Amino acid sequence: MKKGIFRDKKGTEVLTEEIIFIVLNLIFFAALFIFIINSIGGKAYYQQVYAKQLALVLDEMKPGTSILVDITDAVKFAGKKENIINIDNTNKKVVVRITSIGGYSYTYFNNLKFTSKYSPIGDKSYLWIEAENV
Amino acid sequence: MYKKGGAKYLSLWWFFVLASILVGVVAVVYFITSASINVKQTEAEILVARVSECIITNNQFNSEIFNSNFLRICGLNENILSSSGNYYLQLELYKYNDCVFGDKTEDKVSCQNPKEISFGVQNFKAQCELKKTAEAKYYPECAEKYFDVRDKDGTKLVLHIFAASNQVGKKENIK
Repeated sequence: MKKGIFRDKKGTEVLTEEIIFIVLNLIFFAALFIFIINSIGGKAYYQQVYAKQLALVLDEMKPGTSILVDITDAVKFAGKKENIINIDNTNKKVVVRITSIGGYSYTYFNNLKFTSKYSPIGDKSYLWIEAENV
Repeated sequence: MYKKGGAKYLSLWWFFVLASILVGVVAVVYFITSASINVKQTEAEILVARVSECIITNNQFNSEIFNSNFLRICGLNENILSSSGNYYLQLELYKYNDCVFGDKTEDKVSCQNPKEISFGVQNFKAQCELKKTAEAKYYPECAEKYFDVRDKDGTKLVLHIFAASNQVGKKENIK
């Protein structure tokens, strides 16, 4: 009998079983990998985009002005409508919470007082922000 | 006998596959969650614009601003700009005759004897100068602008507004 796993019937059977096992596991891990990327990756990125864009918008706002910000994607990613975007007037920061693993904050230097309100219009979700003097 | 041999090679291979997948998942999740969007330059530009809009009206500069709390007057938060460690704002006022103007296309202005006020991290200005010649990812982004202005007596002046931001944002814990 020749030695070696490719030249032996029993060895080939073992190898086939193990290869199927490895392939199935690779499929499982690939699915897990895609799930993690979809659930955390995109959300974390959008969380940061929303926080920074909103902070820049707040920096430019003048007293007595108001703005309507489209947050449809944020609501869709978060799977909830409340407590996604908070404007912390005390610490002067915008806090966005879309992922389940934590939020992201960015400070602004505008000294105005901001009030925000969730405002759905049709299929879209908006955040109504008003700026007033302290 | 052969089964044992096959299992030996496969267990090594299997360990390698598992380790690769684990490293891959951790690396990609880390890179995606730590991906940074840089808005420091825009922030610095907004700060320059906010200050210039506040203190210059019809080309006339309110020089009394140097004697008062102009951040409060301009609606800017002093704590954030001065103490957060993320910003630098500098105003320099020159007499027009103390300035030498270079080629207009290059927007080069060289002035002496400034009257100056500043807030925040002073090192940012030097770091921005360094950044012009070398790549420095973690250094601040800056914006500056020169304005030809007149004070209330009609004296011709040059106002230089320089702003820098090095804010990177912060991850917040689950609430």
